[in-house]
Amino acid sequence: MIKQYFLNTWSGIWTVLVGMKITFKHLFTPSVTIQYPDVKVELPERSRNRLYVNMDDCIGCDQCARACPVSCIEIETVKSVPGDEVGKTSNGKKKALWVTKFNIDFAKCCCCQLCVFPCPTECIKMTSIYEFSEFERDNLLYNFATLTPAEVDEKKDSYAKLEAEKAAQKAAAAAEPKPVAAPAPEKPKEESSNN
Amino acid sequence: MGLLDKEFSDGNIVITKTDDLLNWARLSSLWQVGFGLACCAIEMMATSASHYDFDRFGVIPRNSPRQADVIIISGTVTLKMAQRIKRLYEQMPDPKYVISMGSCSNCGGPYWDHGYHVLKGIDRVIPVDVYVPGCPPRPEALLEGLLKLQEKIRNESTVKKSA
Repeated sequence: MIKQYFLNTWSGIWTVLVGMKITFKHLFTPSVTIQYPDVKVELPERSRNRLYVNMDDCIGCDQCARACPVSCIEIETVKSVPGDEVGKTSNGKKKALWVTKFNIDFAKCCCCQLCVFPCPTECIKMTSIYEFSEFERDNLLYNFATLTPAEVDEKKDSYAKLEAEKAAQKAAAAAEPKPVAAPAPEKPKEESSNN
Repeated sequence: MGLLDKEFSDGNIVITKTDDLLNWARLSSLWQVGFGLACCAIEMMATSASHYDFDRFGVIPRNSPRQADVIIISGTVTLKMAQRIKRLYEQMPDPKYVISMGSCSNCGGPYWDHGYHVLKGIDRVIPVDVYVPGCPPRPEALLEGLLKLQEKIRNESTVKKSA
């Protein structure tokens, strides 16, 4: 009876000691907490975070926007008119389009990196910035286009002018031959050439 | 900045404004609703665990919205869940704060275009204080969002209503 009592007491103490062994061990291991705002862990290689677009190299090909599974990239372009100097990319390609709008909505972006691979000039890439929370969601819409609204209007106007000129030339060309080369314009000519 | 810089030389008396005292108390013990939705919740749990340790900033998960100050919307909010979240939010006592964590709760994320069942942004249901971008955000990003929220609370005033 009394023996059983002491046995029970001992087994109670012993099982607690066994259970607390791990806890006691951890008392003597160094702390694992990363003191975040002061200490930051190094990111793994090829980690995917916020995107960056180097607009000097962007040719406005729209391939990243088409690759984006959540369509968070919005690109608008205007064709350049002859005489415009749009510039060259760093790998020597001549640019032909004015990129009037290049918006990435980081509220939608899912950091999948699918936009990075198709880029022919490698101008869109992942950075190592991941802390950019905002009080307003609109601030997460990043505008990468370098043109000012006035410049955009100017480019659009000059392209519209070029289009209008071309249309006028076409109209003139269409209007001119009528009196010269009689009613039948196309088919008779082909037939005559065939003959 | 901190409350304790304003103490007298012997350190036994602290003078402060009521605003500062309230803000300091609020920002240093932001208890969150123990509530997770999707993959972001895994990151949120990682933030609570020992490596990132939310507790350093006074964030403790509470199991009742009635004892909580902040709700972290961590993950995809389906239309069905949105009603529950609104209810949870309404059960929280004032002052209450909302952190929207990750693309899904910011604006629907991958589902914003074709997700027939997903709420396109939690701010359509409850007011959001801080948007944390990422898919999912790293624990550090969530911590930074929390620090930003603390900064916001620090500048609050009892007279002027904010949020």
